[in-house]
Amino acid sequence: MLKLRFLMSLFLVLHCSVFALAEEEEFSAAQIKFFEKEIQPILVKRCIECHGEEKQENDLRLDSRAAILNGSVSGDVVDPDDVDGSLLIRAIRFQDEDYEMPPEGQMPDKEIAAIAKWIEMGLPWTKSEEPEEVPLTFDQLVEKHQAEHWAYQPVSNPAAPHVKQQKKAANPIDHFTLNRLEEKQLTLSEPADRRTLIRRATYDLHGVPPTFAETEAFINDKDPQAYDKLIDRLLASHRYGQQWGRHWLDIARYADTVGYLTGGRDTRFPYSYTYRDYVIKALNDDLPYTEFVKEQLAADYFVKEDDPKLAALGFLTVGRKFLKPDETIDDRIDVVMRGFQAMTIGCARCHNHKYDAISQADYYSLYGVFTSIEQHTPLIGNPEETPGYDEYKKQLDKFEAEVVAYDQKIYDAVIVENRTYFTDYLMRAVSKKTDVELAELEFAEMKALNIRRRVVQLWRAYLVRHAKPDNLVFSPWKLAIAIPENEFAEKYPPLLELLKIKQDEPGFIPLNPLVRQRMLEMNPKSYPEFAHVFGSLFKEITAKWVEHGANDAAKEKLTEPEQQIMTMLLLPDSPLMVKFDQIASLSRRDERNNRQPAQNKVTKHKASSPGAPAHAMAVKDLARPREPVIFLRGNAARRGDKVPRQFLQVVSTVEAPKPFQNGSGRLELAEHIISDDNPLTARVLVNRAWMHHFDNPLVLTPSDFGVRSDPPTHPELLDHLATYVRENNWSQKKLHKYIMLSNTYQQSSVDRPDARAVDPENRLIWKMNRRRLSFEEMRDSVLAANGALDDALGGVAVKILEKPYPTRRTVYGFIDRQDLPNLYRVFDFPNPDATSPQRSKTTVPQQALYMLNNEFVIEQAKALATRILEQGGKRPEMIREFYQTILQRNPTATELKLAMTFIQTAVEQREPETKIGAVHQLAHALMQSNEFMFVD
Amino acid sequence: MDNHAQENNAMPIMDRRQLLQRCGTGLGMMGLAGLLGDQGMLASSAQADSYSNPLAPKQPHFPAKAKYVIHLFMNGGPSHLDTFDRKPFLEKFAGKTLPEGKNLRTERKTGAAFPSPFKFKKYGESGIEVSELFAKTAEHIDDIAVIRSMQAQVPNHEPSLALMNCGESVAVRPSMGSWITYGLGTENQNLPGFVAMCPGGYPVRQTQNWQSAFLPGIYQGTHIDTNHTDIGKLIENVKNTTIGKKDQKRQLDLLQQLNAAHREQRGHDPALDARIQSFELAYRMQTEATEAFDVSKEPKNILEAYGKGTQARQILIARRLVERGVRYVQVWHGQGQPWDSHDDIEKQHRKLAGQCDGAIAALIADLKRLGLFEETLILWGGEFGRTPTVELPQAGANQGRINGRDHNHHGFTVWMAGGGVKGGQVYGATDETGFKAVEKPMPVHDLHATMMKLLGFDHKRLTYRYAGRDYRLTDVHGSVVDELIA
Repeated sequence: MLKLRFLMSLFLVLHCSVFALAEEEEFSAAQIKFFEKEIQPILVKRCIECHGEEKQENDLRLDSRAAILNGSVSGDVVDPDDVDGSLLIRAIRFQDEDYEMPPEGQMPDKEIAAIAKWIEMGLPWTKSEEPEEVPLTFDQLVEKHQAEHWAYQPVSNPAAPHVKQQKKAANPIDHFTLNRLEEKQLTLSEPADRRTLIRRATYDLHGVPPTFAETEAFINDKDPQAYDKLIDRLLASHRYGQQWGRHWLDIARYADTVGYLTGGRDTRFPYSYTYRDYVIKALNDDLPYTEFVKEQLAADYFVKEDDPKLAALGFLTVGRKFLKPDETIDDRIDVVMRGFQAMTIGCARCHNHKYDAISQADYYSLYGVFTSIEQHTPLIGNPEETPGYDEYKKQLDKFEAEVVAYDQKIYDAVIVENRTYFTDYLMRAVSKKTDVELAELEFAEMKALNIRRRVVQLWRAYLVRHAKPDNLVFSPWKLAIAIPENEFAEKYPPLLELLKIKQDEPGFIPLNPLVRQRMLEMNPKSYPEFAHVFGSLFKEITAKWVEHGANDAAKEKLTEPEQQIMTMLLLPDSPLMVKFDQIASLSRRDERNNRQPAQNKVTKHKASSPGAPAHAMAVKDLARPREPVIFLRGNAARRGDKVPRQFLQVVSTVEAPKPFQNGSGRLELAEHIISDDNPLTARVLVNRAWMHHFDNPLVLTPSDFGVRSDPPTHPELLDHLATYVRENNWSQKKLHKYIMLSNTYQQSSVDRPDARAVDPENRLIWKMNRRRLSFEEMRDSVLAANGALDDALGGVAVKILEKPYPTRRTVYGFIDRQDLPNLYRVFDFPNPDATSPQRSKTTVPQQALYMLNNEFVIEQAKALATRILEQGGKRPEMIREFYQTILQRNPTATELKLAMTFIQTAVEQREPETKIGAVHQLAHALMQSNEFMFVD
Repeated sequence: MDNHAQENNAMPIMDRRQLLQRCGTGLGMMGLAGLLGDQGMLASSAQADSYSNPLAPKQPHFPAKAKYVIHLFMNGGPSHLDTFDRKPFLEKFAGKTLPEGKNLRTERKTGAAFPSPFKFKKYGESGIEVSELFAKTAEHIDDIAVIRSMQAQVPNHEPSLALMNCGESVAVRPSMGSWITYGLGTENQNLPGFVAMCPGGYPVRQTQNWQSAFLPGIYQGTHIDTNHTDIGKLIENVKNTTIGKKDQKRQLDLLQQLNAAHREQRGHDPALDARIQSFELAYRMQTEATEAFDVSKEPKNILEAYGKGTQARQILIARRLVERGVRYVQVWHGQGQPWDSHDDIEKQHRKLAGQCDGAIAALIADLKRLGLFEETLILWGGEFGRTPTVELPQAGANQGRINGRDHNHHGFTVWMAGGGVKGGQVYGATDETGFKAVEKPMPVHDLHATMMKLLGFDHKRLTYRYAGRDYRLTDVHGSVVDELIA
């Protein structure tokens, strides 16, 4: 026998166990038998596939009585007191177009009748032997999570735990790590040597290695504060902002193009760089993180209109331009909520989050914020100060003039067309026949190809507004087009008769005499002919007006009936009066395509000219913010309840969220995020900082602190750090230093088999994690080895993969999200289409191929080798020099010997096709080594 | 103070062979899956070992015949009505407006019924009708399952390409090739696991068609512009133009000796081992990849069977790649949207089909000869079909010749062959006009679900945890059509 049971999904921890619903009734054996025999098989056969355990279309489940009573997104689906009105019944009877169920076809009448009867009985159901599990209501879920989920608990300030090996602890961080290690009879590794330490610290904070001289100086620095001083020096350098700015740009899904555009349009963001530079500057200035959040969400609320800080708003706008605007809003909600709060709320777009206490109402509350803004690109700073601005402006004016000239040509043509081809447009405004069919009529003047859709629309709108019975030019219009097009010939003549009624007779229709006369003369038999009556007359009168000079005086020269018509045609909303700024919508597709090259010149100039002044990719609130409604199943056509713009219920721990008052509410949103009561913001921040310092976060999913995420390995440490950053004015630099001064950070990365046996993944941090260089660090290090790295701050993005290869720091490289170079992908650069919590770490041969064969790498190795050759030392000296510049150390005797032998053999056995010298080959090999590519 | 130089002196320098022995020989020992955080959720046997090569071959959920996929992508939208879905109705209604309600809304306005200018004929034992455009492919019709009831969601290229490739028309999602490579790995570590060939540049929507989205970047398709015949231009960094082979080998030996000493000081670290191994693979790849793309080594009769031209060459390359263990090969007809015949459909479709029909037939025959046909799932089709009605002139949209067809997502045809597909059958049907799929409508998600099944996957179980949710190719949709499976 088929057995229907509400099986609780393994993952659904959100349900609690209660006895069946209050509405539970006692049913007779006969009723239950009826259910089992007649109803259950129907449900199983026709409904459960989409409304059961696996799928819950419209959030409706039909596999338990409780679930049915729970209803769907549309509310209750059954009402025993109103069987015919029950949504379920209406759906299976196909009474609502939106809900015809089952979708594959109506079920037999007999089954429909059985279900109706069953509902009337009050839904008898086999009594479950086990207590039924019913889902919590949303409010119960919020309460439960607020009470139980670690991430929603207030940030605590735990005392540093007592540890046995006090001596091993340099600061409280070590107490927290040692405490966990000692539980497993483990301890921290020995401190790393100074050479390793300076290289680690420099890579962590700068993304490039120290020089050999810096390394030696640090090793030999006798000052007990040497390491302290090192950290300060590193944090004071602008390279810090470039390295940590790049980490934030991963979160911000930063790219320099909008993504895909049709019609060959230039896809560059001309001003994305201003956001990138803002981020780097904010980090270098050690802007408190709370301010950093606030500026990126709402700088426009509190800075002047040309303040460079407006560039912060690029956080919202540098995302991909999606084919649908709703996707753009979704992207912005996602980047804000995952980026600042590690909350994944995208699921709630279509239904309440399956696991987290995030409702559709929460989603649309935020949707309301981001649908109430518009983008603009205000000038920031003083453009005259940009070197080369004058030249830039001159060129820009020239390019823009080309676009205007092109548009002027189209505009002039449109004006002439609209003053001439009245019939062509009027008949299209009324007739359902196709452009081609109409173009074949003998009085048609335009080719179907040349019809402007927008002008047809303008005529339609114009006629709706003006062709009313009391209008003296159009009085018969409405009556005529009330006749169905295919019955026009038959039904129009009686109407024509009405026009023959004289002024003093009853039933007279007032009408412009010229229109009346022409109507009677032409005796139209169809919609197009009817339109032609007007069209031909309008054309003649307009021609006269044009002949007289097409102005007010010209109108005066017309006869009175002509003037009456001309006045109508010159109303502000008449298609004859289209404005130049409407040109984009008036253009035909071919004209738009032809405009593109000129338009692209403008975009390209703005995006790549060195003299282009900075603009912010800013947003501003709409004058009247939009009031959001829930879209059922995420479908904008199916509108549910209104919701206020406000913050998420589950994070508003103190009280119920209040609707935002100020504009779109962005500033209030920011204030919720940076509020002392927000349990997430500081934890998310310190977890990410930890991740970059240790190559592994404390919470494994740095952008998902939801209930399905793993709890932190060191919850107390996480809270300790969160408290630290809050108490230190949200300074990230202080946080770095605090972490880096711990012995946990300073320990060696060398393997310890005993510890590995206990904790193979090093979750307890018994050693430092060795990490591979990121794509940016790899490329920058290759350049740094050659002494060629250009790390100047700021500016327009540079195409670093095009020859001649620029030496610009990689963070300033051009990022085309539509065509992200393979190289970026191969080295795990994250997909810039969505916020990236963490980069993947893969090792594939394509990476090795790049190091082995890529021209850029070889070029840098060659340049370095050539420079060192030119210094003219002996071979051992040269080899030492290579080791110093590439690996920041001297070679060992064994290595020296190995290199000598290599050079010797390579010189002796050199193949004819080899174009680079033995010494160059050696430099190239060192750049490919694991020592070069990993940070211990 | 510690000094590396001194430590190093104590360390023996191993040669490359010793090193590789220490690093372990199998691929299983190398590489970091790196699926940290947003991590892979491969089921049971395909469970990703976090220290295994992310491209190492993996077992699917259950045994399956198909191991490789060749997707012949007729981008732009080939007309089903002129190829695999004959409609005599259009001949009767030629030049007339379709009955009320039959002319459906597509991207542009269309007019009267437009019968196919091509001749159809029944082929094979199954007697399936195919037009003269694919007369050679039709010789294999008994191995082909023609699906005539495909449906997309909108009549526009970009969303339909996204749907066909990534199972989602708007949001950014991984492509099917990325999913399959993620699920199955690839059998030849010297070649990319997922190759997207497109002569002349990119199709519409560019690299998004083979994107890995939130899956790790290594699962992204590698684009190859098959207009190039110079191998060095086909694969990035595969050739070193500055150093001879032996000299490079010597350089690599030195590198690996340095790496060995470095590793020795640091103890166990799979990431170091993985990178050491990756250089060995890269070195071999230089030869192997070059060889795989070089069709000139094929025997004369094979070259003749595939025919001349870029299509023939890239379809032959597809076979060579599959033969070498590449998991997923897409063959795009060309840059832009070549099959988008809004005008001159007779001329255009004849030319396009002429370029690939012979090679497709040769591919099927060739795979059979090599015993690879049953292991290779071939999918032929575009992102949608075309209207049974003629497209009307619209400025800038076409040339106004009134002899082409508009896009049609309501109903269209794709076909599958090999890889455990039950050939010699027609599945589903469009209405009498050919406008809309009415019999057994097949959404793209169902096609994907069925292809996944053929490859051994339960499409609901091949998932990836991202942004707090388990994603899959078919999202919350997709039903397997068992009738298509032998």
